[in-house]
Amino acid sequence: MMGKPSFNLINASAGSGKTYSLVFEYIRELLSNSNDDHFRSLLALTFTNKAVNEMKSRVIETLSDFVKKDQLEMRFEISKKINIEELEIQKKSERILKNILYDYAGFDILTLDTFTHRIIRAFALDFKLPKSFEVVVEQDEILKELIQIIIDQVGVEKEITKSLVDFVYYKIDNNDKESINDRLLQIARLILNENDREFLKKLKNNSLHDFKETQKILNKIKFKEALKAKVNAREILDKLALNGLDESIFYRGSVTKHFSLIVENKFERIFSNSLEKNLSQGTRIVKKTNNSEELIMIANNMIPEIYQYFLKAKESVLKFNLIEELNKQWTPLSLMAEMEKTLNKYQIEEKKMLIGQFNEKISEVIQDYDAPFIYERIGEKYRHFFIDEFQDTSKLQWANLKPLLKHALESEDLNGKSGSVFLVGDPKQAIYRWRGGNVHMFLDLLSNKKFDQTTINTQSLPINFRSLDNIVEFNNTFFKGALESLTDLNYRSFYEDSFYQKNNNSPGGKIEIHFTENKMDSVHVQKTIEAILEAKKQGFSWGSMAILVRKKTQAISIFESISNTEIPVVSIESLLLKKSSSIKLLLSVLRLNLKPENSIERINICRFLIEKNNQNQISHKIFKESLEGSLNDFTRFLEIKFGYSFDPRSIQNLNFYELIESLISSLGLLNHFDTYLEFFLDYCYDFSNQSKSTIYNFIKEWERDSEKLTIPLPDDNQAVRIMTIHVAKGLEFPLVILPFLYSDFQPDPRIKRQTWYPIEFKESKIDYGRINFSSRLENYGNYGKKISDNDKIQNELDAFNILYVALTRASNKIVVITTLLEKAKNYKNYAQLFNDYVINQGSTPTLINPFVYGSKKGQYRNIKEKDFKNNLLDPRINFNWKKHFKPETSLEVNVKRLKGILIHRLLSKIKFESDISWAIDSSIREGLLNIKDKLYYNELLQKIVNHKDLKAIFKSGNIVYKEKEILLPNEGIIRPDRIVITKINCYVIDYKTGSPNTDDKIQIVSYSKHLEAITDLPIEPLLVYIQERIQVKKISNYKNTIIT
Amino acid sequence: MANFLDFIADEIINEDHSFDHIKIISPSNRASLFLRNKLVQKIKKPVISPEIISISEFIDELSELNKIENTYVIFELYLIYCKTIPKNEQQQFDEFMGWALILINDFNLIDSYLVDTSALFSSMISAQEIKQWAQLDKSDSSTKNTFEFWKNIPLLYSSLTRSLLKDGVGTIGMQFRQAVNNLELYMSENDKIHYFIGFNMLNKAESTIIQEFISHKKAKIFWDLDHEFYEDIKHPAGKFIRSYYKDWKCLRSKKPEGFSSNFKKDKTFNIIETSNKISQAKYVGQIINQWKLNHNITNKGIVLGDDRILLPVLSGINSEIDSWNVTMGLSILNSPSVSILDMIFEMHIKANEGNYFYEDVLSILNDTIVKNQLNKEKINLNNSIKDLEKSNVTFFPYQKLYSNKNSFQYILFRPVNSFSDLLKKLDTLINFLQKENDDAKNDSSVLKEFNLIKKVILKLLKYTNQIKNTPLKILFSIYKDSVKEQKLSFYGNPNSDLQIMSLPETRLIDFDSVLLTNVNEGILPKGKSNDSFLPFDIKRHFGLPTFLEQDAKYAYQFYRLIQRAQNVYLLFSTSEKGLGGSEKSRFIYQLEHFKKPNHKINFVKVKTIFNSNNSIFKVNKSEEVIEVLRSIVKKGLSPSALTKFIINPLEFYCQRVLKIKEYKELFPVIEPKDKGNVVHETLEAIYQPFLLKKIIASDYETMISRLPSLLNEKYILIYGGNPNRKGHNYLIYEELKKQCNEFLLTEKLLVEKGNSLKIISLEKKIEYDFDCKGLSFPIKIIGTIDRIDEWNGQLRIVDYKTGSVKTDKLKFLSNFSFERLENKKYLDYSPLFQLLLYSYIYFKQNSFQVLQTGIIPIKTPKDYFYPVIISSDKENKNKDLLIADTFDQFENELITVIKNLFDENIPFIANDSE
Repeated sequence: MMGKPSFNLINASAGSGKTYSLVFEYIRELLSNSNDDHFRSLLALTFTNKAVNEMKSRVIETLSDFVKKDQLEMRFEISKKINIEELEIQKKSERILKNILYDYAGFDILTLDTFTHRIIRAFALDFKLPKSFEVVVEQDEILKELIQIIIDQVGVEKEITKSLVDFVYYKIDNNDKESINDRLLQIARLILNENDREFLKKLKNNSLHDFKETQKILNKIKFKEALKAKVNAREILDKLALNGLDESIFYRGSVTKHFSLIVENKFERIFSNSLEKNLSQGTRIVKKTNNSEELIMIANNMIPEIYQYFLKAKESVLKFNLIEELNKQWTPLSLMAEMEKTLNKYQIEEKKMLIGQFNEKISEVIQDYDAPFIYERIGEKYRHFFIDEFQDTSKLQWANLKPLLKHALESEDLNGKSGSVFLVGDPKQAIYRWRGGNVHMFLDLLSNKKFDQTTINTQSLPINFRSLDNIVEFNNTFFKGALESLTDLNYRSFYEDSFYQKNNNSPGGKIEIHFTENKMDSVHVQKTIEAILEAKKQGFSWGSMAILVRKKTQAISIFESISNTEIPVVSIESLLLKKSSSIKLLLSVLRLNLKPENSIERINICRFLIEKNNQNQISHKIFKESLEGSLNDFTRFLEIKFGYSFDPRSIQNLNFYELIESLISSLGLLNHFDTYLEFFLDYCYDFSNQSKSTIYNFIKEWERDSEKLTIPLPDDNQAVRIMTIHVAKGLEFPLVILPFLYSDFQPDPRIKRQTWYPIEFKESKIDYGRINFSSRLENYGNYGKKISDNDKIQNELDAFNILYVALTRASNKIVVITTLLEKAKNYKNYAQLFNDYVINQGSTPTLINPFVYGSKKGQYRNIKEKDFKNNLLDPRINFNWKKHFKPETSLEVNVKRLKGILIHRLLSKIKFESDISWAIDSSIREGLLNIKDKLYYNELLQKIVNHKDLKAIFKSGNIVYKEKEILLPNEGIIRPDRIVITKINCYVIDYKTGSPNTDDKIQIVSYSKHLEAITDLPIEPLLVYIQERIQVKKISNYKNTIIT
Repeated sequence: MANFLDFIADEIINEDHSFDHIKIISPSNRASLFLRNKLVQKIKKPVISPEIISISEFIDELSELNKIENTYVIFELYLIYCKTIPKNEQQQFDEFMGWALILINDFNLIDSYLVDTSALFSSMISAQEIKQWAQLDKSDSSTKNTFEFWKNIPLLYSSLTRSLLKDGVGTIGMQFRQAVNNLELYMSENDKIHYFIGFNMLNKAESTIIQEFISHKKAKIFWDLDHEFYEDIKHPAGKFIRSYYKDWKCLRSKKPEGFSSNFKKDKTFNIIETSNKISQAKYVGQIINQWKLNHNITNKGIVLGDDRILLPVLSGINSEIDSWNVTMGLSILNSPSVSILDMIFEMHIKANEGNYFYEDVLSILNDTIVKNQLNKEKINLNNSIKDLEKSNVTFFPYQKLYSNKNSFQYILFRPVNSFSDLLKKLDTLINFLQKENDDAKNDSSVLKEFNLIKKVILKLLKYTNQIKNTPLKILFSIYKDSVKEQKLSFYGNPNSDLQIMSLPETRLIDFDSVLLTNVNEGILPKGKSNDSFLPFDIKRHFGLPTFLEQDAKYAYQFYRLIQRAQNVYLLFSTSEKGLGGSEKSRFIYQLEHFKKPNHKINFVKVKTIFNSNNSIFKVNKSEEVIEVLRSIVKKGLSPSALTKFIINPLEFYCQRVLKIKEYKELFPVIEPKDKGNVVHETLEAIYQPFLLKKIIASDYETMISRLPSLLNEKYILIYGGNPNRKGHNYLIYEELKKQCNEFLLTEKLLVEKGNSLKIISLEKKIEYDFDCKGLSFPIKIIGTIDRIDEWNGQLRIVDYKTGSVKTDKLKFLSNFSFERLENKKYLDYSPLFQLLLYSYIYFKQNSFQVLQTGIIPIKTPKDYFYPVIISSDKENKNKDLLIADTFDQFENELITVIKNLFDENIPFIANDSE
């Protein structure tokens, strides 16, 4: 409770109540401070919007419970911990809750991105960023645009043209089939990837020219080395020949073959055999059979020399190969600086910023300023930090946070208290390395137990609250065995320390492990379907089941297969808007409107309506007829055939959103209004709100966006969900089915992956290049070996952690589908782990029966429904509201009317004659009056005020009401243009710019009669007709005029 | 319960002073209007209305300055900027625009809070100076930017103020400052009683003015607030009013007037969660449709937190219900009239030396207003557009788009030489359309929209003459900002029992039932915004409002709106999109957790049905269809048609049976198909002279030398495009050149090595009547074989492929069957099918024992030739030779396909998996 800085690190395994402990600590901190506004100095950070919303509402609900409820474990625990009576806590919670909810802006539970964004906004000026920049989350689209910009310079910019054309040539020379765009995109993505940041920094100052120069130099070296190798090889071959040794003396002719290949310039894959090992050991080189003793001896004696030659040649060949390898990515890489420059320009011009650049930008701020200054700018001062999912934090994110944390820990507040840090995460669930997540910070803190000056207090949460006991126990046993497969000893020992979980005393739970003969998709799909149907029988609802897979392609293929059955199923793929038939129909109508001659769209339109109307039997007839006639004929045809149609003319004067609404209504889609249409309308609405929202542009944009537009995964119990394990992280399902669970730890070698490689030739101006991962990598020297080994370890960890995430999602039941291994594989894979596990359990994996752990029957309890009433949306569409617009008269009348309005406005500014010039000037300033009309109106006004009948009433000294409202009881308001009260009279004046009209008189008479109630003076009604000539009409004897 | 305006009206009527001596200042024009209506209901005889004006009118009057819109302040500021800042430090207008608007806002803030500018500026500058001193070593650091920026601000501020004052105009801020300056004079000339009604958050100028009036006993002040919010010392809704009673000397001893006590009464809250904007807007309509609108019993207010959802809300209301009144305008920003002008703007922004980008031109020509106008004038641009599209030219020269200067097309497409010229062009266009176009003439909303835009254009023209060399893009954004403000107003009855309005308009107005939308954080309240350069601490120090005050202002608006209502509907949405996502508003949390005993809260979630889309569409083969199929096979069926049938039967049906042609669009980049054609034709021409001769190595010299000109010729013939190739087309052209060249070199090398080559025929047309077992009529198969040659004496049927070739899909092993393939995988095997079909025909027509067939991969020319393989045995030397067995095997496949085609029981199925 003292002011000591504290740093807590919580290692929280899956399902161990991580959120609970975060909320607990957060509230404990709030309650232990005497200040009820203490929440303003707390900052909680996590990764997703969803997590933020959940944590916010948890904190609020908990505080509210503290106030209202009688018995609460958390309150009791906190009371014990901070030594404050529960009753006092109850009161304090009430005050805090009020402060939080009333001063909600200070309640900062944010995503890391939001926090970073806030800082960037505050420093926009320093970055020369426009204040109102837009954040781009879908970054690939921008990168593609970027590449387009670069490619568009081909034929214009000399250097870019040359280097890209050279690259095209190079690709053809080297049988490289990948497209230039893809190549450039791979490189462009590096700009946004934090893992590549340090390398990019090193290349930042290298110009296109530097790259060109270096490439020339490297290629020279390449040829020199090739020559060296060949000379070498020739030398030893000659020596061998001199000694009478030829192919036949060597095992499979290996030695001579090797050097001959070098002589022939064939450097590919010559080191993939065991020749080197054999040479170094002197074994299996010389063939004993069919050779004379003498020759055998000569050969044996020569082995060390051959080995020397071998090594010398190898050195050269590897250099050659390395340069060849570097060449593949050289041109795209050389454009890196250009791409970055273009991107920066693009961002400023378009007022956009890619979210991937946030951390980079922010690190500039953190380097330049101290924490207090940053706080001053953003207007918040945080002293207590809570960070969730810490294992997914990237290096740069952490580096950016560190100074803020340090500052909080080092300094003291007014009460002499230091700040605190509370980090929560699970290194076992670190599966976001590919986007920068770096688990090593977590592990380092865990082992160093020190952050700066502060000692770290580590803790773990031992109980699994999510899963039934059998599942917890299964995972304990399974991972205990599986651990052996981890190469990285540090990480293995970390797992050893933390994989074990205590159960929560909820008996039950079942695990099935099915084995299949091979990796045939169809078998896995079949087993999955069987598992679903069985679970359904056991009481699991469709929505309680989830199928988790490693790869997106697997998700798609399993979705396609299951959607042919009766099982309701959803996956990201099926949630694409473009899959909806209603939306397809709308798009066809739009396309047809754009190009009436594009008749395939007529077919598409009919196709939808045929389906809805069940007219399949005569579809050919309908199709044929639909193709005849004009667009208008076609729409009439639809009306007759289906009762629904659309009016091509209706598109007029509708904005794009309205157009879609009107189509939905006229094509009868309102009866099929579903989530897809709901979100499509939302998309159309956003499109409609941007400029140039025409059909033409919509189709262009739709073609680009529709690949990614999805509706949210429905969260109700309607369908089985299919998703990747990555997406499932943090989620929980009663039943989890894991088909295709046989992957190797290492990624498929056919997948092209690249890595940075240092260029150690001293002539090179470029420090790093990009090369492909391959088995050759470890041959390129120590660095290559290091990269390769490290990569293997990292892949292994990824694979292992993904498996951990997969197996810890279920609360009630897990179904694993993997392959049966007859004999152990020499590389690590999931299938091996499950085979080993079953064997260790004293059982034998078989194809026939699954291995079962736990209760005979998987039982299932229903999830409790939330306290919500669900209402179905039943939208309407009609355009009657348009009748409510104020009518605008046609143009000719309009010009006159505008002039009339202007004259009225001018006159309303004139109390006395002397006001004329001010009235004119101010009207010009207000944009009412065009400067070129100044003289005309000046003259006109002069004519009016100097008119013989009006002169008197524009004289100063009178009481003047200009356009003054007169209230009439229960009737309304009238507003005569001018009322002038002199000593003897009350004038009522109405200006008319049209030609005289009987209504004019009626109106002014009515004004006059109303005025009688207000003044005792005699009333003089005047109508002033303002045309080229000013005409004043006095209404005498108005009292006798009858108004009808 | 009496609402606020009733209370005020009674106060005024019961006042001792005559109406003539009363001046009422309200927060908004709408409030003034409602108060006047209240008075009409309560007075007994006609009377001259007391002066009822909004605070902004009052400030206009006091300051004697004309308000100038922000858009024009920007121009003024830029002109001043250019005059005051040294040339070498000056930024271009677009960079200037990056900060100008925010700076102007800050100026407004500083002025309306009567801040001592010299003190504020110097503290900003010195703060930056200190930072800079501390970081002397980093001369290029970002601090420097900030310092340089602030250094110039004082001068900009004073020059702008001076220049505007000279013209008798001012920003809102300047008006406030000036109003305070003129206050003494005004008070000495004016002895009316001033009623300040319904105010909440006041800026320093306003509060100074009001305090002066009260101190001089020339004013009364009434607040529209519930006791609850005043008494609860933490409640943000009462924050300002509480502080006035604490801080204002003139109020300290007084009791607040006008408070009501309704919040704690019976109320029902419906808190409604929707998934996005549309479901929210449509659900508003749904609620309205369910209401039984009994006239005069209750009045209902629909309040939109975000104005932009007005349109979907209105279209969601049943047409029987038409007594509603919309007090807010409908933005014209998304109207078709604005859109056509936008497109012309954009066309000029993107224009390149008088040539317009094709997409811009096409989108203008596809605009409905334009289309109808062209139709009306019987102008058919279609043909010239089609010509342009066919030419694949991406930039159209403007001259090609109109024939004479008196035409409508000239108005649309004439080039412009400056921004003012562009504005004039737009003005001409509007005038033309208003006079000539039926839509613009007869539709009152279009007419009005055009009038509003014209107003904007006229105002902009005033400045564009002064600021030269401004990028069109920037002026476009200024234009758009101005257009954004323009709204169409509705005609309706302000006393209707269903009012639709935006939140700020609700001030002083009470409803029995209130429906409020967009109750999300970030909208209600707006939360932290970044529209200021002044740091939080500086704002605090100088008494300027921060986001905390802004939030309190929203809280007041929210709670004031619901304080007297009995039924409250609050809608929010939960869509996840974007940074930060959507979070329900704190106000909902507050209602939930600080619930009054008489409050009832219902939670509702709005859902839509989730339909899965997995039906398969089929077209049955009627007799008529079979007839058509027969006539097709009579004329001839190509291998590509057959593969199309296998891959996507429905597509085959559309193309062949319905005879729908593919629609040709303009392609800015040459397509793969055209690429292939260019190569085919080029190679055909190159080999032509050597037909039926044994080709020797030296022949290739001739071939290679002819390549560049032939390729160029064929490229232009087949694709066209802009004559100056750039971008992708440049690269693709170079690629093709290199590929062909490499291919020829590779072949030359092989010939040099002793291989012999003789070309038998090029692009040979073939025809074959296939006697399909089980069908009584012949099937004619037609096609073109790219090349037939003799390679080392072996006859080869060869196809050129410019795309990727999958060599593992070129195997026709004895256990292989096309039939077993899934449709979509079939695509990969279509080259194999085609090669086999051609070889089969050739085999049947010419009695050869063995044939070789395969692909020449132009994409990887060094590989030279990928043969079709019939055995996976590596040792088998003849594995790439097709023999009679192979053709028997293939014949069966062919029979199955054709039988399927004619099988009435197998419908044409749609294959929609792309």
